[in-house]
Amino acid sequence: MRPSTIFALIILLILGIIIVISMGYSYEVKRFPLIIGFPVTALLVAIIIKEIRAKAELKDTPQEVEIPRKIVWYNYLVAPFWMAVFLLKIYLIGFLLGLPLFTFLYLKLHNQSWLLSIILPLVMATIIYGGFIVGLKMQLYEGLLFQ
Amino acid sequence: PMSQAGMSGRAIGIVETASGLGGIFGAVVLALIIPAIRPIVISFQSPECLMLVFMGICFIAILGQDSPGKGLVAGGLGLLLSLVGLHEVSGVPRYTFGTLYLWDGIRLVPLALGLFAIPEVVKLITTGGTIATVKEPLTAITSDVLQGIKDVFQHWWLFLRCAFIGTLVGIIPGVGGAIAVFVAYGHAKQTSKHPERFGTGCVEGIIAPESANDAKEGGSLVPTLAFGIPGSAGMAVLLGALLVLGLQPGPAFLKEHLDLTFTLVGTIVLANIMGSIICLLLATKMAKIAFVPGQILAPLILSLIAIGSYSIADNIMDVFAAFILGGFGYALMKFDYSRPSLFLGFVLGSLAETYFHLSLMSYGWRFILKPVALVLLIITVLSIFSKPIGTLLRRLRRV
Repeated sequence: MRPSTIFALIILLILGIIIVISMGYSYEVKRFPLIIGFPVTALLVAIIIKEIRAKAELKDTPQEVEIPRKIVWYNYLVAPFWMAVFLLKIYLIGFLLGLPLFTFLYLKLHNQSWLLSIILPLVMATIIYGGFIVGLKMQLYEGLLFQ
Repeated sequence: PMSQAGMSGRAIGIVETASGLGGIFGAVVLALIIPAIRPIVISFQSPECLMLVFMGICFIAILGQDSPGKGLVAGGLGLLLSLVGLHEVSGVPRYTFGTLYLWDGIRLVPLALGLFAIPEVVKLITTGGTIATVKEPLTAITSDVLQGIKDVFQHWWLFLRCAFIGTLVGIIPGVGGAIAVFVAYGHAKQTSKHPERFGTGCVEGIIAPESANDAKEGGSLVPTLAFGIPGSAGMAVLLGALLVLGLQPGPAFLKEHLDLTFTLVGTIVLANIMGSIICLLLATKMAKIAFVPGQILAPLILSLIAIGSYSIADNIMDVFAAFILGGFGYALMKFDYSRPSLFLGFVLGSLAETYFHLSLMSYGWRFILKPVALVLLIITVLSIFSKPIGTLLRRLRRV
């Protein structure tokens, strides 16, 4: 099954959940969500059917050169991995330490020079502290470990 | 083609001058139109406003999209996302799944950052490289730039016509951007004495689209401020910003905030003048940002996204929400679902429900039969089904 079809099925599932939950609300609360939900669901079903038919037709046509699965999976996983690391750092040690530390780690693991990997995070920490905390008087999240 | 021909400076001069003057033209038209449309706008009641909301979402979902169906699904999802949180009339929490965080609904800024900014960062992380793929940055030569500025004034009649086209197209909700540009380009080519030169570095081929592109911004402010219906995706973001500031665009806006409306007109004029001057002076330097490696830009942009999401309500959950929505936004981008449609549906969702509720309270289901509301509904339905109907008619003709 194509990834686009899988994604459409996930949205269909979410819409189904929304509709089922809406049925439990009073008339006034559920009418607008259902007026939107039912037509969107019907449209999505039509899109899914069209995609499944298109896949069936594509089987008979010559395909472009496929990218190796390993590279495809790498591309799908590398960004979520870095996002997860980024969020974890902020959650545990806060913005002031987490953001520069993440920047240093990211630059170093992507083969940037030591000079850039140290200077850029230092500049970032200065801007965060000077600009946001002192200048704008923002109370940035300090992190779970320091609360 | 102009840059390839070694006239990049002239191209920059034409682009910045036509854009700047086009934007001013659109703002002037906006200022002249406002007194005329005020009585029309004030006569619009909740059924008409509701139909305008749907029309705006449908237009932006359908026009200029490869898959109108997916655009409509995205618009519908945006409407549903806006309903998360406390129901405005009854106070019942909807789709909160027992979490207190969702009682206030999904916030606009994390959604915007998640839908638009994070997918771009994901692209930078996965593909690496730089934002721009052209190997050498533009080098502007001062005399070429001045010649480009003169070109716009020498073709003043073409500029005025295309700026007018851009303004007119900008006024139609949901239509803008590429459509204004292509219509203006097409018109310039048709009316040119040398249409064969278009596409080879012809001066008229740059003046036309650039004039229309910025003039449409003034035009698209008309439905945005007057009806609360964004004229383009950019106006949807502006609408969101006004809502964050507690200002509700719509029929009442022109009555209660007329001074702010004209301030926005003045701002457009000033922004276009300043933008053109700054770009003319700094374009070649600013363009270098597009050649900074993605590995350096990605952590910086992620940091700005995190701080931006957090700063709205000092809530760390907003940062998590932005990234979760970012994953969703990336999937939408990858599978060709229109993110501007979803964003517009989200921005207008609670407004649509309010108009819907008021319409039912005032007129019952007969609100659909109000003349202007009915006409708007018919236009919306026809726009949705125009492509399938057109295809069916063509097949019938062949038979």
